[in-house]
Amino acid sequence: MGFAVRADQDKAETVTGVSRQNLVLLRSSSKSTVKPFSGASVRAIPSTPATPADVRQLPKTPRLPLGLKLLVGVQQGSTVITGGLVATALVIYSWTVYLDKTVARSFQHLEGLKVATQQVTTANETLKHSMAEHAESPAAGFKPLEPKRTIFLSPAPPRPSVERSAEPEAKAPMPHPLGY
Amino acid sequence: MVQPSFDPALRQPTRRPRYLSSPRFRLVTVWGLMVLAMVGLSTRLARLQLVMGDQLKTQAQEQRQNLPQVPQASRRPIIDRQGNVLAVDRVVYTIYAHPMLFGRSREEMAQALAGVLGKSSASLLSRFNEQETGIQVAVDVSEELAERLRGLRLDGLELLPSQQRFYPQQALMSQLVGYINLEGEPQAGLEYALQEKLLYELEDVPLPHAFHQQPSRDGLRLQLTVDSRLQRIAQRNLEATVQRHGAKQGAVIVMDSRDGAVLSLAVTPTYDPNRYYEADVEQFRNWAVSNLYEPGSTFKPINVAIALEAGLIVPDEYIYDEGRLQYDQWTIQNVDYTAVGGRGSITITDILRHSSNVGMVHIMERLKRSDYYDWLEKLGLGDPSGIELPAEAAAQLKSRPQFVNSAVEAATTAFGQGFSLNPMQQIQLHAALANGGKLVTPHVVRGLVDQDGEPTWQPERPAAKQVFSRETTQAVVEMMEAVVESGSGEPAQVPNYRIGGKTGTAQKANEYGEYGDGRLVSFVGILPVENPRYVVLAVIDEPLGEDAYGSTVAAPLVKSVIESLVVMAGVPPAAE
Repeated sequence: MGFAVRADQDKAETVTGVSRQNLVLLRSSSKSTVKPFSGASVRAIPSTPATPADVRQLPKTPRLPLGLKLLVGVQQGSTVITGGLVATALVIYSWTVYLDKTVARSFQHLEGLKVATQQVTTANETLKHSMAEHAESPAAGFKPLEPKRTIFLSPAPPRPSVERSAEPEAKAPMPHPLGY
Repeated sequence: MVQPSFDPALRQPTRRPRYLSSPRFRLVTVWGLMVLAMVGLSTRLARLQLVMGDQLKTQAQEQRQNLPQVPQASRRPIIDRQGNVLAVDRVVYTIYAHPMLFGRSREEMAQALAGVLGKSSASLLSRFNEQETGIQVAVDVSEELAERLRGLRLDGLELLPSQQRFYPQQALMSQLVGYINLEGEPQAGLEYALQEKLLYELEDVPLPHAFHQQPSRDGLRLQLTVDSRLQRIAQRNLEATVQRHGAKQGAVIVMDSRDGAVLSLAVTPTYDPNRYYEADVEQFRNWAVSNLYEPGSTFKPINVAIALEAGLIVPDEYIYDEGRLQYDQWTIQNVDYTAVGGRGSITITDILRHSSNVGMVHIMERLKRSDYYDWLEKLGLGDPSGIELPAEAAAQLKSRPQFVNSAVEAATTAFGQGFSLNPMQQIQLHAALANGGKLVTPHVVRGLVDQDGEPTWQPERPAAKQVFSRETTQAVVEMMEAVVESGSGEPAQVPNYRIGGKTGTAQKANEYGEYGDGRLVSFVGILPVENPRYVVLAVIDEPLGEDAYGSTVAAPLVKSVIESLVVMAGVPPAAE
C-alpha cells in the first residue's frame, strides 16, 4: 500500500504541469496527504545526483475496521465451507449413483442365483424320486428295511470331553495372583 | 451499481417514458419474472408432492401392475422331516410363435423348434401355415429349454413366464400337501390350510427404471413332521393291501405319541398334484381326516382304560362272559359266539385277546351312563382333533339324553359301535395310552424353518390334557401286548419286539342307517411295550371276502410298517 518516493525537498523547482501523475509526496509527518489533483505536490525527480534524502519511516498499513475484518473472515471461511460442501455433495451423489447401480446389479445376480437354486432343487428332487421309484421295483433287488437285517448299536456312554487332569485346575478359583 | 448523474434538462426528449429504458427497470423486470417463475414452479412442485402425492403414487403402482411380470404369487417350499422337498415353485414358459414376424423361412423355424422341443417339424410347420400370429407351440417349458431357445436368437417367438407349483414326490404326499390349481390358488391340503404362512411377503425391488414389488424369497420353508421314507413304505404296502383285498380306500397313520407328530400319513386312493385335473374330485379330500367311521373293537382298550381309571375294575379281575346278551329287541353277542359260545369267567386281558363284546359290556355297565358320557366328552369325542389339515370332521356322539336313557347305547359304545370318529382322532386316543395318558394334538406341521433348520414360527397348540394315569395306560398296553402275543393280533408280531395291539372289524352303516355287509377293518399297534412311544393305525374300508377282518387285512399291514419304523427310528429289540 502506498508508494515510497524519494523526494528532494531542497529543489525548489516547481512543476507547473497539469499532467496527472501518481506520484505521492511523502512528508515528514506520519500522516500522508493525498492530493491527486494539486500540481504543487508533484515534483520532478531530478536527474542530477543529489544528496541522499532522509529515509523516512513507512507508514503502517491502515487498520481495517473490525466489522470489515470480520466480514472478510466470514467470507473466506464460507468460501472454504462451500467448496467443501460442494465436493462432499458431489462425492455423496456419485456414491449414491454407484451404490444404486451396485445394488441393482447384485440384486439381479441374487435373483439369478435364486432361480438357479430353484432349478437345481427341482432337478435334484425329481432325481431322488425317480431313484426311489426304481429302488421300489422288485427288479432292483433292494430289500425293505427289516430289523432282522439290521444291527442296533447302543450308544457308548458319554466320555469326558477333556482329560481329567485339566478339569480341576480350571475349576479351582485362584486364591491370589501367582508370580512367575 | 453506479448511476452516472446527469442533468435531466440536457436530455433529449423521447417518445417512450424514461423509466422504460433505464437499466435498473430492465433488471428489476427480469429478476421479477424469474422470481415469479420460481415461485410458480415451487408451488406446482409442492402441490404435486404434498397434495397429490399419494394419489399419484397409487396411480403409478396401478400402471406398473399392468406390466407383464411373472404373474402368480409364489410360495415357500414345503419340506419333510429330513429336508426333502415336497413342494417347490418353479418358473415355466408358454411359447407362442408368430409366423408373420419370423426372420427365417417357416421350414427352418419348424426344424429349429422341433429339435429343442422334441416335436415333429412337420406338425409344427402345418400349424405355422394355419395362422399368422399367436400360435401356442408349447406349454410348461422348463427354464433350461427356454434358455436354449433364447440362445437360438429366433425372431417371432414369444416366451411367457409363469409360476408353477411343482411336487417332486408326485402322488406320495398329495393327501397332506394338497395342490395349487392353474390359476395359482391353493385348493386342498396344507397348501390351502396354511396359505398365509406359505405366501412370500412382497418386497420392493431395488432396480432403477423397473421399480416394482416382488416376493422376497427369504429362505424360510415349511417343515412337516412326516418322514418321506416311512411314508413311501407305508404307501406302497397300503396300496398293495387295498389292491389285494379289493378295498374301497385305506389309510395308515404312524404317530409319535410323545408330542402327537405324525410320521406318516398314507392314504389311498391318492392323486398326483402335478396333474390334479386328471384326478377324481373325491380324492381331494383326505378321508383319514374328513371321514367318520365307527371304530369297532379298536376302541375297546380305551374303554378298559376308562374303567381302570374310574376304579371300577382292577387289571387282574375276572369278568363273566356268557357270549350273548339281550337288550330289549337288540341282541349283542360275540363275533365267535356260534363257534365258541360263552367263555365263562375270563380275565380282562382275555376279553381284549378274544375281543369279547359281552365282556366289554359287563365292564362298562359298572360305570354310570352319565359318567360314561362325561368320559367320552373328556376324551374329546365331539370336538375335532386339531390337526392342521383342512375339512376335519368332528366325531359324532349320540346326544346326552339319548345316551343316558338307553342302556343299549352305552352297551354298543362299550365295543366301539354307535358313535363315529375319524382315523386321526382314533390314533390320538391310542397315543394317550402310549404316552402315559396325555391327550396330545395330532399335527403334521413342525413350523417355518430357516436355512439352518431353526423354527421361526410354530403353530400354537393347546397343552396336552392328562386324561389317564401312567399306571392305567401301562396296564392297558400290557393287556394289548397279550393280544399280539396270543390273540387276534398275532399277524402283527415282529420277532424280538414287544408290540401291543388291537384288531377291529366294524360293520358299516349303509345310507339307510342300518348295518349292511360293508366292513371297516382296522388294527392299532403300540410299541415298544417296555417304553411305549409309537402308534401305528391301519384302517381299510370295505375289503372284500368273508375272511376280511382286522387280523387278516390290517394287522399284516401294520407289521410291515412297524418293521421299517423300528429300523428308521432306531428302536432296539426288547432285551430278553
